[in-house]
Amino acid sequence: MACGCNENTQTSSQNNSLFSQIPQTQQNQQHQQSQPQSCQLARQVYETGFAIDDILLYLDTHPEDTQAMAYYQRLCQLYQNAIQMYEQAYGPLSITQVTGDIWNWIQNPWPWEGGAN
Amino acid sequence: MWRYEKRLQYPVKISQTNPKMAQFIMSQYGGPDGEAGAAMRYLSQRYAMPYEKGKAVLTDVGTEELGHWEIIAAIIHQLTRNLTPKEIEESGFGPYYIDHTTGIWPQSAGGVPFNACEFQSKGDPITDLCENLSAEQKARSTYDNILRLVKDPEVCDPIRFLREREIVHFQRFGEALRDVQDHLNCRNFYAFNPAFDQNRENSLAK
Repeated sequence: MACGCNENTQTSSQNNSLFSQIPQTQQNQQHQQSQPQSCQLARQVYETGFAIDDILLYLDTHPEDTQAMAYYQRLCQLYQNAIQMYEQAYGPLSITQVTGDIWNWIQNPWPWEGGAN
Repeated sequence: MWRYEKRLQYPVKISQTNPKMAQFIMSQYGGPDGEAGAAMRYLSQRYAMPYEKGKAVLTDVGTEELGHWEIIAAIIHQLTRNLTPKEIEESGFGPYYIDHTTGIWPQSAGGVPFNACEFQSKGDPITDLCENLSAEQKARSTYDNILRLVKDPEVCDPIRFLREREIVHFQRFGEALRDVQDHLNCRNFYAFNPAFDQNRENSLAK
C-alpha cells in the first residue's frame, strides 16, 4: 500500500484550512510498520467514511469549491485503502466485494449487533 | 437507488441493557421527529425540487437519515438484549414488549405508530425546505431531551453524534433554501411555485 506521508505533509504545510486535515488515525497507520490492530482497521473505515459523508453534503451546496473537491479526492483514496484492508480481515462491506468461493456476505456479525467492530 | 454498506455510520457498542431508556430512544426510531420521518420526508420531497443543489441535498441527507435510523435500531436492540420478565415489567417496557417482544417497530416513546402524518411533502420547494429546517431542530431538541435522561456513556456517545448531524443538516437545508431563493424573483419569492407553475399562466401573480 503506497504511503501518502509526503502528500499529507505538503498539504498541511501549504494550507492551514480545515480541508487539509486528514483523519489522524490514517496518518498514524501510514507510519506503522507492523500489522494494524483489528479495531484500528474498523476505525479507519468509520473515520474516512464519515468524513466523506460530511464533505459530500458540503459539496452538494458548494459544488465549485476546489479546495473541498481536493479534500474529497484525498479522502476517497484513504477510504478505498481503509475498506480494502478491512475487507481482507473481516469480509465484504458491499455486495460487489464478495470474494472467495462462498457467499460470505451473509456471515455474522451484522452491524447492529455490536460485535468486534 | 440504494445499496447497503454493511456497517453503521457510527459504531454502537452497548454493554449494559436498559429497557427504560430504550423506550425513550424509540421516539427517534418511529416518533414524530425521528430518523424514519426525516428519511421519508426528504426522500419524498426531492421529486418536486426543481433545482440541482436541492435535489442533491434532499437525496443525500435522506440517505444519511436511513443510516441514522439503523443506528437508533442498533441502540434499542442492544439496550433490550436478554431481558428478564422482571426487568421488562419494572422498566415500563411492558406494553411494547407485549406487542413486539424485543423486536424493533417504529413508534414514538408514547406508543403512536409511525405514520405519514409525521411529515409533509408539500410540493413547494420553499415550503418543503422550511419544513426541513424545522424538522432538524425538532430532532435536535429530541436528542437534547434524551441526553438529559440517559447517562450511560456508551449510549450518549452515538446519541451525541446523531445530535450534531442534525445541526449540520439544518445548515445544509438553509443553504439549499438560499439557492432556491436565488432562482426566484427577489422582489417576490412567492410569485409562483417553481415546482408546479411551469408556465406563468398558472402563476398567482399575473
